[in-house]
Formats: sequence, C-alpha cells, structure tokens
Amino acid sequence: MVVTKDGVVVAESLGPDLRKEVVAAVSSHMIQVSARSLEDLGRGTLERVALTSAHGRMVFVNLDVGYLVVITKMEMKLGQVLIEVESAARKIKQLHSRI
Amino acid sequence: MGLWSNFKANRELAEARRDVARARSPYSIAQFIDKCIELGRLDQAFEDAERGIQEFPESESLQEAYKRMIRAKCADDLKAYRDEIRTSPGPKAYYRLACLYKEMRDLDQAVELARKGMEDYPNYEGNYIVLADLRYERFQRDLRASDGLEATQLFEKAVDLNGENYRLLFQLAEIYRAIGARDHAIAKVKMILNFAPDDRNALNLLSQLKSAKAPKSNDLKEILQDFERRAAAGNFRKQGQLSARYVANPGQLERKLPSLDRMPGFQRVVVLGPHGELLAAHPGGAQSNRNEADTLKKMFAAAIDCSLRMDISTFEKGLFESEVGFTYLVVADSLQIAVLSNNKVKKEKLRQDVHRFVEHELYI
Repeated sequence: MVVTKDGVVVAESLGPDLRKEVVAAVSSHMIQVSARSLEDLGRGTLERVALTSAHGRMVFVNLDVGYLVVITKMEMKLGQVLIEVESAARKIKQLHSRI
Repeated sequence: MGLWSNFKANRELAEARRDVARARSPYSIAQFIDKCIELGRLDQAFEDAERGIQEFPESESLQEAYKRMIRAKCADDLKAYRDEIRTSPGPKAYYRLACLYKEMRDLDQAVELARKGMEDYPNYEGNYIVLADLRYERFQRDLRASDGLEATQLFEKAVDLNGENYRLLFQLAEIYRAIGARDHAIAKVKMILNFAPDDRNALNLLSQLKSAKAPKSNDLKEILQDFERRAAAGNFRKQGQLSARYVANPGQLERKLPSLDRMPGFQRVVVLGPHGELLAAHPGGAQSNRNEADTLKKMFAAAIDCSLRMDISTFEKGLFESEVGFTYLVVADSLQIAVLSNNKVKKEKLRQDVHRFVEHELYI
C-alpha cells in the first residue's frame, strides 16, 4: 500500500485478510509516531522501518510523497523482503518524478 | 560412522558442552544444538533443545535452534508426507503434514495445508483442530479476544463433526474455564460424561466448574472481550526470567550495558520494563536518559500496537533507519531494549551484536 502520512491511501493491493481502512489508519499512526520520535531523539528524518513480529513482518519506506507499506508472512526472509521493497520503492519514486 | 570420526565428533561435542558450562545462556545452548546437528547427533540435539526451552522459554535463539533441530530430525517424514499428498491425497495426509509443519514451527505452511485439507475434506475434524490449536497458541501469547473467538469456533466445528473426541472436548472445556466461560465449559464436560460417565478427570472438572463463580454474561464474545480487557490491565501475564531479574535489580542491568561499547557504531542503549518504566540506560545512566526513554516508550507502544492490529502477532523487533543512524528496538521477555547506533555499522552486524547481547550477556 502507498499511503500518505495522514493516512490517505494512494494505491493498494492487499491480501484478502486485510482491510484497507485498518491498514491505512494503523500505518499512518505508526509512521507519525516514528517520524516524530526520531526527530525528538535528534536522529533526523525517518527513512525506513522494518518490524518483525511473531507471525509476520511490516516494512515502511519513505517515498517523500508518502510511504510504501508492505506486510508479509513470516516465512519470507527479512533480507529478501527488503530487497523487493527497496526495488518497488525506487520504481514508485521514478514514476512520481516523471509525473 | 567410523571409530575415528566418532571419536572426533565426541571430542568436539565435549568441547562445545564445556563452552555451555562456562557460560550457560540461551545463545550458548543454541550453539551447542547447532553443533549436535552438524555432527548428526540429533537425539542429543533434541534432548538439549527440550531442556533449554524449558529453562529459557522466551529465548529467540533457542526457538530458532529448536526449529533447525526438528527440521533435521523430521526431514524423512517431511518427504514421505509430501509424497503422500502428491500420490494419494486425503484428509489425513493434509492433517499429518500440517501437524509436522506445526511441530517444525513453520506456521504459515501448517495453516495453508490445514486450510486446504479443511476446504477439500470439510467432514474431517483433524484439520479444524490444527487451525484451532494454532489460533489458540496465538491467543495464549497475545491475549486478544478475536483469536480466542476464532479458536473456539474452530474447536466447536471439530466437536460438531466428532462429538466423542475425548481429548478435544476436554481441551475445549479447559479453554472455556480459563477464559471464564463457565457454562460453556460445563456443557463440554457433560458431553464427555455422556459417553464416559465414570471418567474421574471429567467429574473433577465438573465439580470445580460448578463451584466457580458464574460469569456476568454467557455470550462468548463478551466473555472474551472482558478477558482481553483484564489482560490489557496486566492481570494474566507472567513475568519471565529476564524481566523478573532486572525489574527487581536494575543496578545489575545497568552494569551489563557498558559491554555494548564494544559494538561498532554504538551510541546509546535504553532499557524499559514490561510497563514502559525506565530501568537502565548507558551512557549517562537512567536519570540523564529520561527524555530519550519517554520518546522510546512511545515508539515501542506504537510498534506493539501496530503488530497486534495488523494481525501479525506480538512485536519482537524493529529497525528504524534515519539520516543519522539506526534505532533498533527489541522486546525480550517483556523487557523493551532500544539500541541507537550511527549509520557506519552494517545492519546485519548491528542485529547480530544486539542479539548476542540479549541472548547471552543478559542471561549470564
């Protein structure tokens, strides 16, 4: 899903178990808290977050115009996920720069 | 295996065992298990993995080592069950393979197979039980009403298909009792007594249930939501070994933190307790890191909440990258550990060093 910091969905392709509104709202909250916290800690702008939980992973990548949010199952290796996500993020950024 | 190679393997194992004895931690036990796997001593690996998990149930290293061990041990079974599905698929073939994946802790595969078995053979109860067990495991860890409801619905479906499965009925009655659904539990025990009227365990459980307080409502959803509320208030979570040790003695924790100075790029570490209370920090100690701790507490809360709401279960770790460097959050046995580093360090190295610190230094 591509979502703005305020939770507006730009584009999405979600599995059947996920609801668009919920993913957008939760992601937006996560992004806002993370970005603000990193600034408060003096660590600059948030670029990427990779969360690992007992049953899956979530990755958030800053696209400047919004964030790419990816949710995966646990069976995918983190390294593999990050390569795919980075590649997708690059393509989206290129697409945006052409518009 | 020849005599010489057997002798060599024994010597290597003895050496590895001495390493564990020198500093017993989940990390060192996991390394010993890996050594056993490498040397083909799977029974030894199994024995130590079982013992290690009992001793350190929250350890990530041991869970991973256990997975590797069980995969090595069950490789032949896995092949045989996969072949069975290919050549003569049936409800039990799916059930057996799903159970094996569950034992190997490959839960995505287990769910997928049990679901497929359930869809193709809806009149066989086994695959419902596998799915229910997995959901119930998650309920026990996360204490979320939605997981509990789904687990009990799947168990009930299995009961509908086979109302004389003693183990299943007893398990379901125990689950209902644990969440406070007394009348639901009584109904299941009565089902057992219909076909086993003298069963002592069932009679004992029935008498305990009858003397228990009746819930305010009999609606399972409401009972589970009430359970979730009480869980959120911290009424059910047991404190693990690490958090019990360091919450009681944060000074001991603070003395361990300077070992992270050796980590390349290390800048700061802040450790919070199970309720987000500041336990220790380095450099500067807890008092001078109070503001950082307040901010990190918010980050942990957001990550924990995000994981649960996205249905990916309990948050374990998160790497936050920014212009200045990395902020790595790890939850270990309810302790919330935040390690800040510059961006000169390789991410994988950061993960490994923090993992070793949590799974070894903190335990010894």
